[in-house]
Amino acid sequence: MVHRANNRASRMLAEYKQIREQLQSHESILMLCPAGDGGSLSKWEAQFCGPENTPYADFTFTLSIEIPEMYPNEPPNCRFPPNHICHPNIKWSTGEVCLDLLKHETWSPMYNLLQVVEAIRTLLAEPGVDSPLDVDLAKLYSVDKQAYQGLVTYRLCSRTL
Amino acid sequence: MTGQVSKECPICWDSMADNVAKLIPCQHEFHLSCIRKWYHSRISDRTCPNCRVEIRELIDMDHNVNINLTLQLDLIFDGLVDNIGAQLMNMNIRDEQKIYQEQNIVLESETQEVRLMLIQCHICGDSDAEVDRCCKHCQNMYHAGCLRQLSAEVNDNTESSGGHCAYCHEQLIPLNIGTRTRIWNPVDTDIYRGMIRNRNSILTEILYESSQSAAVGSSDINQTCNLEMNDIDHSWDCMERNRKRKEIAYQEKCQIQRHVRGILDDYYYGCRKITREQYTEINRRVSRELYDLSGGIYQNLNMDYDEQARRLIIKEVEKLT
Repeated sequence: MVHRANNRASRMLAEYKQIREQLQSHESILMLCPAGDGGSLSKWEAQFCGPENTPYADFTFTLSIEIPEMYPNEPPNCRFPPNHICHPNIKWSTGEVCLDLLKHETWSPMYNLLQVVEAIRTLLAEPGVDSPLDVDLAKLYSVDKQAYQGLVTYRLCSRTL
Repeated sequence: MTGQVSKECPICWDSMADNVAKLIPCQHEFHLSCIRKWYHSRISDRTCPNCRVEIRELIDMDHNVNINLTLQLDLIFDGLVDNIGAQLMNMNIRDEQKIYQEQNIVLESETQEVRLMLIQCHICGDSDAEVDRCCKHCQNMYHAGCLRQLSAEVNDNTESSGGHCAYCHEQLIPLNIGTRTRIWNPVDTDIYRGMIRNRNSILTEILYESSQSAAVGSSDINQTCNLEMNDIDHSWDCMERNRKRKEIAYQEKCQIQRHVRGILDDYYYGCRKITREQYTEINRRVSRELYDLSGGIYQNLNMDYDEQARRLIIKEVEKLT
């Protein structure tokens, strides 16, 4: 009995069902659904509110997620739109996200899409200043929180919607 | 369906009625095929996906056999063939003490400690009876079809040396699982005389055709086997040479880039005339140009790389302002 079949398709279908159920009562994740054409489950889009008590709180964020062929053995590729979010671990110009959980070495097939989105939302509240993508912002975060908050708010307000 | 509560595999989320593996020591359960694929995709990682505990062995619950994941291998494959092997399909049975003398290992080994290990294609990660190549040196195993698929990525070249392992480049030997002679099934369109056809690959198709025409009018399996080995010889030879060529090219590139970075660092750290993004962009362009100028070879004696790099960088910086 050899399971040569593609795990990704059946697993994504199962996740899709579960996500639909769980999102009905989810406070912070407004949307998480397939965005690919032709009913493909390989591209997803998420929308969530910024975490409370952070400069992100009053804003909503869009995240695009690509599910690789080898999922769940490989992590999904997550990316914000360019010039969308200002954060020490997110590159402003490209939207690239730097999060341990999403790296090949630390990923586990036990994680699922909803957890990934929740983890990225948590990252907004708790930046990892040791492995920043934006060195200057990470520095500002560790020396002057108030200035950091001001800068983040300023840039989020100025983004084109 | 049966009224019995079956758990779900945390990797594929399908029901885990059969094909179950339990990890030791943490007791977490997954589909055997899922956990194998996971371990295959993480060459050095043998921890539990759930609790990250280091895994020593896993139990194939369907057959109630332990599979040791830490075993350092030193196997001789000629003696491994037997009936239980056919039943378990995925495993080798080995009697440590008597492996040299034993022809019929199974009967003897029932009273002795039997060690099992995975038979798994090191290219696709699947475990099945089609795994039919093994490396003498490192015991990595392959599907002949997978080797051929890999070979399709390098262009064909028909010089021949030994059939080589992808990892240590030692000689490959045929590996028989289940029965001593493989059962050929010409009706199956994907398998022809034991070779797995990969329809996506043109080279595979050519190899397939050539072996087919050579085998016409002959039921001699040996002949096909020989052909098969030659195909692999070719593939690996090509791949090996391609790999070496790339490696050399890469080293030359690094040496050239070192000069460029040396000069660019002055601009970036010294006088802060350029931003980080500009640094990256200029580095890329100048390195590429120098690389073209050198014809792909690092010619330190004929060319003053520092001077050339400086000249090109100044030009690039001027463009910025």
